[in-house]
Amino acid sequence: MQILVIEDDADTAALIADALAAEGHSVARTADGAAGLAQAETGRFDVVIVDRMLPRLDGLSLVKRLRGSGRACPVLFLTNLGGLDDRVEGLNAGGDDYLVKPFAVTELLARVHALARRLSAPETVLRVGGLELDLIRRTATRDGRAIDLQPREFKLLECLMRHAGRVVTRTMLLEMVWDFHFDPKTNIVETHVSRLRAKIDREFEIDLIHTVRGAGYSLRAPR
Amino acid sequence: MRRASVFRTTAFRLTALYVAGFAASVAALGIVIYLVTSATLSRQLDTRIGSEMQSLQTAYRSGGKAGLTNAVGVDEHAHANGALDFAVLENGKRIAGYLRRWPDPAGWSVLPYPEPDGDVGVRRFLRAELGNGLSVVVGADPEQVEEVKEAILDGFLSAFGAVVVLGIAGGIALSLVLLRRVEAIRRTAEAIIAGDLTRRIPLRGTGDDFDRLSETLNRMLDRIRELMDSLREVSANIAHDLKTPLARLRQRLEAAQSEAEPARAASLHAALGQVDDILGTFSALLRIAQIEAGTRRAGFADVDLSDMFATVTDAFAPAAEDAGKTLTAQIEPGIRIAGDRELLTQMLANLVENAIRHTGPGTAIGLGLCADKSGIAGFVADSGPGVPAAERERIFHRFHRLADSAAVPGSGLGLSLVKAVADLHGIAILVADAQPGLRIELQFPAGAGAGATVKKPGN
Repeated sequence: MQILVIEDDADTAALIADALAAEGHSVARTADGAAGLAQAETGRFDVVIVDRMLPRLDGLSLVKRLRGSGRACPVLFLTNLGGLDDRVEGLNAGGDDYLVKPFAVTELLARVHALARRLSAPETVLRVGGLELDLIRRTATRDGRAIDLQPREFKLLECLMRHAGRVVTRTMLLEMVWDFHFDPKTNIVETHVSRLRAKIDREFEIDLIHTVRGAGYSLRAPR
Repeated sequence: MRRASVFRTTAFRLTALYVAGFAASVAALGIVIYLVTSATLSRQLDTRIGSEMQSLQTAYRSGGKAGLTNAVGVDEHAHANGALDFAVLENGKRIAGYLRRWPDPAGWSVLPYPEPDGDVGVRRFLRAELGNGLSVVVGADPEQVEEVKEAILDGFLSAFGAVVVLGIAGGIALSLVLLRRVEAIRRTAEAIIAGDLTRRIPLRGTGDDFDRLSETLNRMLDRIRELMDSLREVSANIAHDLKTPLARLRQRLEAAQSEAEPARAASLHAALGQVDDILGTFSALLRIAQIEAGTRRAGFADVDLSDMFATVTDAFAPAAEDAGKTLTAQIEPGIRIAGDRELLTQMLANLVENAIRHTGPGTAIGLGLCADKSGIAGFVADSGPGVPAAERERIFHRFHRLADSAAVPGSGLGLSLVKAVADLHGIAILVADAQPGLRIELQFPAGAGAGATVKKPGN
């Protein structure tokens, strides 16, 4: 993927660029808001990562102008710790996701992949291995056997399947499944995933849901 | 500090203004009385002269020249009383009376007059021609009128002077008294600015307006001191609560330096977790501060409270179950309020987490939401150990943790955030005894219910 990083803090920018490059993406970097907008407007990038605070042109204005010029490329905002209104403001300005600094690199990578996937056409039936999730009829089957899921488990499985083969972090699941934008001290994601596993994997030989230590979960079919 | 001057005080300026106005009134009154009195007295003198002239003319008409000179002669004694003087003239020569000077034309006139003692005074004359070369002149000394006029003038000048002098003296006295009271307040304020927050304005105990003002200011100072103390306490707690995990983190990292793989990787992983905890504490503090600033209220929207309660129950039930507890809810559907869904969710989640974390296995945790005529009420109750009555108010303070909860990990900020969100939404929190256990009731503000709060988009 072609990724543009607009971040004025050299350390953070280097960290992001190195991590993305290590995954095989090609990364362009700029520390200046106005220059960043000019680059983003070329339309060459699959994902744009924008810091809120930038010299010459702040992140919010940058994204508003980018959207004003008709560019629909996914935008990930980086915001500072504790900015209560940052998420809402960022989404209102036309951002697609936000990440609070400081963040774990795995979290950033997972979100960048999730954003890139958002562009693909919406599917009505998700399939991974023998697992099939019908989003219209709200049914789940594995190897032809019907699996009875609670509404929240269905949503959780949908999120994992949409990003199949990729890491979905705990924070992402909290946001997508429960709309929780804070960090609960209780391991609610773990307990729900464990219940989902009991239904999806327990009676089958091969596990589809994998725990990625220190990051989150990944649903993938065996290679 | 500029020394306060008596003449620059408000009291003195107001008094001076008042005295100036009052003195001007005295002067105006004096001028009016002076003018009216002098006019009246002059008229009275003229009336006397006129009636004397009439009686002389009557005497002439009835007794001729002899009658006239006789009448003038009779009236010679009157002169001793300093009242009127007369002259009867025949062809310009005085043939009777004592007037030493008289006007030539007939009618009223005023002329200088040589007094018997050699001074030059003034006389008011009335001269009438009787025919046959005879004239009669009546002259009056207006000195009495002048004396009365002077007396009035003197009286009012003295009064004017007294008003000004007493007014200024009163102004100075009043200013000194008020200045002393104001100075007392000012000195207290200066002492507080200099850092002595314990200083209070002395009261006189008379209950006057200054005392009441001072009392209010003293109460304000008490409140400020309370807030400062709690701020100090919070700062100290923050420093303490962050110092401990940072010290532990440092130890761990130092140990990791000399460790070999894979122990080193495990240590680093644990260190990262500790850093995240510290960041979480900072994040919570910042969040509470931002919620308390109240700017978030602008973003209030229609929130389905019933749905939110159900989501939280659903999210936490498996975790409670795994910890050997039960989480059940009784939620009346369709209850909505105007609020911030994100913050309300976190508020309820914190209350539920608190109930899960601070109770033992086998605890029943209940969640409820209902609406009736008295309003919308929610609760989170558990059958755990509860909170001693004396501690119930303090559990919402930042970093406050019950003495026996030290073993349970946590930042001590969860309930502070609950309080901040509740305050933002006007929700009253009641901490009650669930017998056994803790019951936290949320009383939503009146008028927050469905219908009344549904915002139209764009509003």
